[in-house]
Amino acid sequence: MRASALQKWGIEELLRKYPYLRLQPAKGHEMIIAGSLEFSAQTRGQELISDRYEISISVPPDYPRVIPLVRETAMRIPRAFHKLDSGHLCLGSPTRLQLILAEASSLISFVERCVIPYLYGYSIVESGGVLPFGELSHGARGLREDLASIISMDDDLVLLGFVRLLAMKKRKANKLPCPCGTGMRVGRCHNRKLNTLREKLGRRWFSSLLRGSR
Amino acid sequence: MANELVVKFLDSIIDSLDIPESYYRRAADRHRSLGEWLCRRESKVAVFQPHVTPQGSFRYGTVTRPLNAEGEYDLDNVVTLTLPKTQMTQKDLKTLFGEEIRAYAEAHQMLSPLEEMNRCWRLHYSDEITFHLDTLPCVAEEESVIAAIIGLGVPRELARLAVAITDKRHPHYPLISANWLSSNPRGFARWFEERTRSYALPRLRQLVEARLFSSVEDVPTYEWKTPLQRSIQLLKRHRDVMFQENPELAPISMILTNLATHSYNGESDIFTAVTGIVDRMPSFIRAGRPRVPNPADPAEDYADKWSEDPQLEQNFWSWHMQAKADLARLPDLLRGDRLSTSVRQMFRLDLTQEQLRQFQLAPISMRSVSHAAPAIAITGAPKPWGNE
Repeated sequence: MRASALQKWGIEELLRKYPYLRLQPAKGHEMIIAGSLEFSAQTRGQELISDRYEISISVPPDYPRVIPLVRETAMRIPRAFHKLDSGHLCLGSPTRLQLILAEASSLISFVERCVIPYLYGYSIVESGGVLPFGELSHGARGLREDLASIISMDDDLVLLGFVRLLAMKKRKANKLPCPCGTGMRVGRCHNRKLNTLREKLGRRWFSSLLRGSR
Repeated sequence: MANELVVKFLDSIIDSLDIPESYYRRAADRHRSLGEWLCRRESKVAVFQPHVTPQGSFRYGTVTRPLNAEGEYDLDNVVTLTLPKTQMTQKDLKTLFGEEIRAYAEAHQMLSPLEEMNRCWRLHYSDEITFHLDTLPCVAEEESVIAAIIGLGVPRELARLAVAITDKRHPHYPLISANWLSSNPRGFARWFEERTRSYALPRLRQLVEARLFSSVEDVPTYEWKTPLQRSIQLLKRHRDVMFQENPELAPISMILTNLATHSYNGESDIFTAVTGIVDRMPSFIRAGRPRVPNPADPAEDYADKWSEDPQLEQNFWSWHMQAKADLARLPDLLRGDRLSTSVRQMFRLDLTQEQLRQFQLAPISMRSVSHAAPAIAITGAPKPWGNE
């Protein structure tokens, strides 16, 4: 990881905008940014919340292909809230997070679109409210739910059909019948949606979903 | 010219990192005393005309206070002996020199044992200021090596200061051999002083006019206090704080000093100087080896460890990025309410009430706690998940 990576990921902008997050000495290959994350955030129909969390973000060398791991370090968020077994925050389904990073890969957008919404949600829950953006079931069911909302299809078989198409080359997939049941070939039906997703995440992402490794 | 208040503020920060001038004088005394010892009649190395040259931050005037009270000051010198490399092995020279240093320690009632390092001997002084002195025995380099260094474009007056050093890890360490490691710490120091002197001239003249010194040549480098030297002090402190838990991962002072000296363009105020230095530093790191060459011997790479341990390079860049971001924030900090917190974070210094009064611009009533927190409008967000 050289200067170019730090620049490409927009670390300097992140440090300037969130000055209480600071780069930490790296012991492994990950880059560690840790400290206080202060924000004022609001979403439609909800109150404005100003809060501060102590966090540590571990950015892997192959970011943004691999999603950073985030930890809340002041033990304010209990294990029972959305956390991975390792204690890292479970910010969202991997596919959703990948999609967000595919749209904007700077660390600022990771922090503002993935980390702050999670913490904002927890602040609301902590003061007795409900999660403003909903939540996924844990485990495989949650992944399926999120995929269903990304593809906007709820039937299991249809969903599986779409994921298979996403794991194929565009030219091949477009000639096949669309799993949505219209009877048209994909190229004349859901091709735009599929192409966008395939371009953003790559076929391999979807074949790994099929293999169950995500 | 940068914002006057930022300049005054940084000057005041660096003043509090600085060490009393008496420490520099004390360091100079120690080098002198060691030199006299090595040259006394009974000394086993006197025949080689030992010549002691101070080195390191005490020579350059870039010492900063250690982070904590137990911290030691590092004092360095080079002791050049006049003999051909093939007259004795590296090991014999190191040992012979070590015996004299041990006798010196005993004669001066130093309690801690003498420590043998790969290249030098380390003496621990234990009076009110805790110093350790790394003293490096070496022999003047032979003409063919000096000619080769000149061939790489180094001026003769720097190249001729090159020395051959002993290193316990060297394959020829116990053998009679002309194959020794070459190094040029004295050349680097000379280069540093040549680059810095012209910027120091106004102050040198003042000191002479005030009759503190009889001529500008008599003013020791540590008295020059140029914006370059003060920038190096500030950057070293920033580095010390960032790596206080893992000092072994920190970029070494020689890399910071080398790059800063290349990068300094003579700016007269400290803020413009240090921000300019930090901005330009990366352009003096070479893509191939040597990454950060000694200007007085380009074959000597101050960043030689980067290739064995890529984390060290990564940590240099992390430090650099953080330093750049911190410096860029300073003008805003003076207008906000977080000045003392931030100064503690960056430099581990507690501002005095007087400093706060002088530098914190916004009146208490104007400050709001959430003033710095960015406002985010969240439109659509991932739903939190969790594995089973």
